[in-house]
Amino acid sequence: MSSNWLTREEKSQFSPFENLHRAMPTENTGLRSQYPLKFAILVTAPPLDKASDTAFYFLQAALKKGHIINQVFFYAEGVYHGNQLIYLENPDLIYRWQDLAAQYALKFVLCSASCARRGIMGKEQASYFEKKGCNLRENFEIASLSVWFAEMHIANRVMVFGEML
Amino acid sequence: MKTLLMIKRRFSSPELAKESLDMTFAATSLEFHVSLLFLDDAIFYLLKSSAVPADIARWENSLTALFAALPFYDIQKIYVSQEAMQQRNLQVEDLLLPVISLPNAEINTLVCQYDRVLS
Repeated sequence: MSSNWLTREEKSQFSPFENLHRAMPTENTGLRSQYPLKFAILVTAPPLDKASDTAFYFLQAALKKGHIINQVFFYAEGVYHGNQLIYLENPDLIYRWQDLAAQYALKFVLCSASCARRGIMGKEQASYFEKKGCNLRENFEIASLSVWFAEMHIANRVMVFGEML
Repeated sequence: MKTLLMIKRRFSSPELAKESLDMTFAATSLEFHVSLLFLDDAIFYLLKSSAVPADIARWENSLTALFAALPFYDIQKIYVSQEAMQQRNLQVEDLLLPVISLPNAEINTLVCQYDRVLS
C-alpha cells in the first residue's frame, strides 16, 4: 500500500465523524430499552409558525421526561429565532426559548448560510460581510451545516419541525 | 450511515430550493450515503426540458439543471412515487435521470431501510 493513505488513527485526528459511530447503538432494540433517547432537533419554521410552537412543546416535554437533547439546529426560515430585533406584543414567544436553554443547558445553533441570506449576523459575520450592526440573540450561535450532521449522526431519533424539502 | 431525503413539493422561491439542495449536497460531502425520494409535485424537477409543462416558471426550469447534476454528487439512488407519476401522466422515460419507481405501498418498507430520514 502507498504510504500516502492515512491510517484510521491519523484520520480521526481531524475528522469529527470518524469516532462518532462508536456512540451509535449497534442494533435497534426498541424504544423502551434505549431510554433515555438522544434526539437531534431541526427547526425550519419561523418563530410565529405553528410548527415552532410544536417544536418548543416537544422539547419541553422530552427534556422533562429525561431524554437527551444537546442542541437545537435552526435552518432556513427557522433562523429568525435568533434575531434579537424581533418585537412581539407577546415577548414570551421568543424568550421562552432562552428560558428553556438556561434551564437545561441547551445550545441553539443557526445555519450560517441561512443567516447570511436573512440578515442575521453576529459580530464575526458582520465584520466579514462588512455590515455595521449585529442582531444575533444571546445564547444563539452561528455554525455550518456539518454541526447538524454530526448531531444527526450520533442521535437515536431525528425530528424535523417545519417544511424543508 | 444511510440517509433518505424526501422532496415532496414545488418550492415557493429559488432560495428555499437551494437550501434544500444544500442539505443534500452537505450530506453527501460528509460521506453519508444519501438517497432521494421524490413525491407529488417535486417530480417536475426531474423532467427533461422537452417534457416540462409551459406553466412552470423560468427559475424553476433553471433548477432542473441543478437536479440534473445529482449523480455527480454521489447520490446513491433516486426513487419516485409511481402514483405521483401516474396522476401527472408522466413516464419514467420523461425523466432526466435513471430512477426507481415505487408504488406508495412499498415506500413504507423503503423508509424502514434507512437509518435517518429527513423530509
